[in-house]
Amino acid sequence: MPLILNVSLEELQKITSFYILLDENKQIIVCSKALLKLCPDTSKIKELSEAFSFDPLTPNVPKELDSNDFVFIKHRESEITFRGVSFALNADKLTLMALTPLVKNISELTSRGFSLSDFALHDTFFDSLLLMQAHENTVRQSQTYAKALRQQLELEFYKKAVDESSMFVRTNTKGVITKVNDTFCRFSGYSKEELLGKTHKVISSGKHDKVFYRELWKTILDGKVFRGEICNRKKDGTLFWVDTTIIPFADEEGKIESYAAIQIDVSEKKLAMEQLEMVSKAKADFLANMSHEIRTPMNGIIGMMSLLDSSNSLEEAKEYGKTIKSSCDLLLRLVNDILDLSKIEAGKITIEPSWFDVRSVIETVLDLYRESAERKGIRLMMDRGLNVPSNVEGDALRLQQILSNLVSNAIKFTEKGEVRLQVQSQQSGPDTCNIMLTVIDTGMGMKSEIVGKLFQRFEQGDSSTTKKFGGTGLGLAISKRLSQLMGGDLSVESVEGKGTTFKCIVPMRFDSKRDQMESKAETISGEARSGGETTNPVFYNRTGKKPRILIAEDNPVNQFVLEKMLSRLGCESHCTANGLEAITAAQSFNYDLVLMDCFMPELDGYEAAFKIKNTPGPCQGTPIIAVTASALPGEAEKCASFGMSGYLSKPIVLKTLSQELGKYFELRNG
Amino acid sequence: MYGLVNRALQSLVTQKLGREGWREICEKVEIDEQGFVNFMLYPDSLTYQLAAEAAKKMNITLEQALEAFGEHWILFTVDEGYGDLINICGSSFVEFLSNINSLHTRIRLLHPSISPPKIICSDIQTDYLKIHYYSKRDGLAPMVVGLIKGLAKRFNTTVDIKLTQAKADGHDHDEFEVKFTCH
Repeated sequence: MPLILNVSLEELQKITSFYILLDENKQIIVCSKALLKLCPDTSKIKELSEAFSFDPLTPNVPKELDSNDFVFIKHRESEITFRGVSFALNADKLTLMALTPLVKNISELTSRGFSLSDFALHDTFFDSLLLMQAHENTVRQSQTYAKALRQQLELEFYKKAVDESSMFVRTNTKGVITKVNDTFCRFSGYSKEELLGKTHKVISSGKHDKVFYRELWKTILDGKVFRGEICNRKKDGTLFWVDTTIIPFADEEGKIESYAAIQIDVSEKKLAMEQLEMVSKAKADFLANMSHEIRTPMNGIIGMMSLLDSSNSLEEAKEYGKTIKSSCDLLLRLVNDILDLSKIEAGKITIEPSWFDVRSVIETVLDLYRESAERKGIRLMMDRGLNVPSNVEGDALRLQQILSNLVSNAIKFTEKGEVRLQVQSQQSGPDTCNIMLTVIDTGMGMKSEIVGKLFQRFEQGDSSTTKKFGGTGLGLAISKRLSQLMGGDLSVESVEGKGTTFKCIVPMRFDSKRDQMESKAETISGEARSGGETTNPVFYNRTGKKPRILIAEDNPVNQFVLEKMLSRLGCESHCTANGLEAITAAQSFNYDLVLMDCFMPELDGYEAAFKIKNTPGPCQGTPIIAVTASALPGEAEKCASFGMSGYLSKPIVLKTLSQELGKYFELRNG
Repeated sequence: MYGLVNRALQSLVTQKLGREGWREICEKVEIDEQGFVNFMLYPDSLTYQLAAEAAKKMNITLEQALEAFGEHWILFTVDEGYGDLINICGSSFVEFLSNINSLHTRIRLLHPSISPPKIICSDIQTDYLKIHYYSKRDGLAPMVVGLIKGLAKRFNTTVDIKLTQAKADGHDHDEFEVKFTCH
């Protein structure tokens, strides 16, 4: 092949950076400038094999350098391997070795003083190094991004969780909002545009003082996490409470650059907690009042009993007995109030309508309180409207309960002047009307904030009222709910220092035709009752003998009371102390009636009654009356399910026992 | 421009305004704040947008921002792992400037789609040289000024730069006179 290249060494250097020119004896004639930078000794060494060793795997040997094939030679001093090709320049019998050093990166070259101008412009050796560097950099960046991506995916997961459940706000170090999530916008009522660039003041409620914010900022400026409950204001002005965590974020140098706040709405919890605290306080106050209220009559009873024990005078004993009775009445009223309220709340109280005379209910109440009003020097008056029907259909007992409560309250809180009970009626249909009972007093009156919570249970005017005037704080709550149960309502108006007016409006049916008859019936019944009190009636069984009654009662005092009462009512009695004894007695004697205490040792009254009723014997058909201290709703039904015919609630008074016995025995005047 | 340029801008903004500052700029420009791939091509308009937003955020002119960016570039590429490349470009202020064009030419071999500028030195004396800056992009002359200043800092050299001919005035390239003193 003809030689077509005729280039100088200078020009050769622009084509290839690393080369060696050898003579026909393979002696080094000249090395390129770049090669000399890597292998400085080649400027002095003549023998190629002295400066370089040949890779044993290379197919070429020094003698065949002109074979136009790849050759790998290693510089002995620097240990750099070169890959190259050799050209036989036949005309001059010279050999040109064009080489490429196998270096890993640019730094191997810079450490040997290379500059960009040392490389032949057209030599892609440096470009390949550049490519390797770029590749390495790309791999490193990919790894960094892959890691960042994994973190971002994780963050996305957390972000979704946060967005679903919480409000998120990011601010800069000056507290200016730079990011908010949709949940925050939804809660606050502001759009993102309205919040971004503003400080938190835009939602400030003004509920927290400067000390609170100073502490908050101190915590986060110290790089610590703040946790607390914050009250914010929505765009519409309403407040909302958030459980807040504020996290400061620092840059690489540890300088705080932003804050992230995660907030959870706790308004409902907060409200519930406040209500719970209020209820809890009201209950605690109530229990304290109850304790006081129970102790007062108990003190009377115990004190009087001790005096009775040492008294020889019948007059004195009667006097003590009266005080004991009034103390017991008070205790009973207390218990009844609690039971009433509990029944109302359990929905167990039903209104039992019957025809009655409104006037008689009012007169009964006035009679009940006339004496106490007179004792205080207060006039107790009644105004009755002209059109008030005398015969109406409703629950007379409950109406009387409401009125009693209102009148006794009015007397209690009035020091001078009068308590006036007004009765009016307004016809609402052909046979329906609204009965309006108004109790007006000239007493101390109340502040408006007290009036607002007057009908809440366990509440009284204020706690000092209880201490001064007594009472359970349940009466008005009961009255209000009873009025509502009857389809009406109870309201109050009061002026402090001037007096209070309670107004109870209850819808009722009326029947003018029955007026006369009902009125007569009431009068007669009243006479019969008053006659009964003086003639001391006694009972007789079917055979005309004294009824024989089995008492099952573990408490000796209660046994004694029942024995005495039964004796007063003309009955004979036999006492047993538990359910087992009662069963034995019932199997051996034919009693006319069994009074069964429900809670007894060995075997309780329910089981004992069930056994007696379901075992053949003389008392299998004998009526069993439950006697129990448990007066809660559902008790009567429970007793019936065990086969008992009646139900008496402790404490038992002579009248109720007499009424119950009257269902089974004949009453004759003793 | 390739991602490395945008990353350099990100690095400058983060240094001056913090991560939050960069995040806000990204939100304005509506890009993912995660960053750019070094050797991927991005539209020039994006780089201009980022620079303009950064200038606004830093409360300086776009020219000042570009100059700051040019100055930051050298520092950034060293930090990014291209220190050897910078080193091999030259061991003196003048050598480096003389080799920049060669470097750009070689980079073009690796990334045929990019359009690197042409930077030619002339009238080289011991304390003076002229720089001719050819670019198909407009308005980046302040960045070249920053680049020269950054280089001068690297080689412990004080410089006085004067724009003697501007592309904005209808010339085909910008020309700078650089007086320098090596310490």
